Amino acid sequence: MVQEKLPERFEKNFFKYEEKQRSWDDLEVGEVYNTEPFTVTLERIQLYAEGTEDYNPFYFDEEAAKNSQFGGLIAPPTIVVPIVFASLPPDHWAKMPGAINPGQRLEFGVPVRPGDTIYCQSKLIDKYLKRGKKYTVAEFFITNQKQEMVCRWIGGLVLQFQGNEEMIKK
Amino acid sequence: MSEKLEFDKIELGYELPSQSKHITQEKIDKNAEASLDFNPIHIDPEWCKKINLLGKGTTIAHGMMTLSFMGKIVTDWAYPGGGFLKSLEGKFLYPVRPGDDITNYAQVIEKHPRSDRTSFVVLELWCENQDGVKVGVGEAAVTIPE
Repeated sequence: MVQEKLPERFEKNFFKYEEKQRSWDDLEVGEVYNTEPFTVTLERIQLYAEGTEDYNPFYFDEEAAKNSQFGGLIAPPTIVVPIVFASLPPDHWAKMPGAINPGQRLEFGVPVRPGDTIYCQSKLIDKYLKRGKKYTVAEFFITNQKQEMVCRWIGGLVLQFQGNEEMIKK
Repeated sequence: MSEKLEFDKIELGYELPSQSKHITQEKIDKNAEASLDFNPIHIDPEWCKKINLLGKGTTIAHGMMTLSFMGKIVTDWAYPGGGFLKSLEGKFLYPVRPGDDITNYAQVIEKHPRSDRTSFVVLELWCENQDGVKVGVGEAAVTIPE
């Protein structure tokens, strides 16, 4: 059994890096982010499936998955969520306390399989103001250890710095 | 063994069976652990109350949890039938909160025939809370190789 290893810098407490967050004004369209690879264990796949209440046999039943179009166990398509959160630095705006998700688009390539090491390239491709709110848009280009595309994810957040007066002043 | 999907037999307007989810703080916390998204807007009820998050002061569920529900209704249909999820898109229109009952819907709205086993259909997706308010809308594309 492969033991999951989160990047050493991964931090569950998003408040810990709140003061290091840059303001929306300081973000530069085109900037790229320092990401780390993440190896996806079967345990993570099944934890994720349980966390999204998705008990498709292709994520749990080796025999059923073997006889499927996938030829073996796979992860749910949105497994890219924990992959991206594991890969990004702890002070990335995607981890800003109070940031709101307005919508996302994911295009899929090959599925993630247990034991895959996943690489994530990420850059800011847009930022804009709309109805008084500050939006970011990033592209995540996600590949496996064979350099096959797993997902191209376009999406962003509304950065509102909610609740923290010092951050609101920023 | 489930019946394989056949592109020619899929009808425009076909509605997949709807799926419902009851949302609790416990489920949101579990999703945070699963997805590694520990934003306090999802898991810290006291902070959300303190800042009166989105005018109601409660936690909200992860948008990506809603998107995963929108994807599940599609993969529950496509995967046993031999299909592949090609894309998934969602916009989150209204917060999903603990106590909500969310129902997910999907309907085939486009057919894209191809000659190289890459024919695909597009489904319109939407989900509503217990008050009939649309909390999310989106689209998914499914490749049907047969």
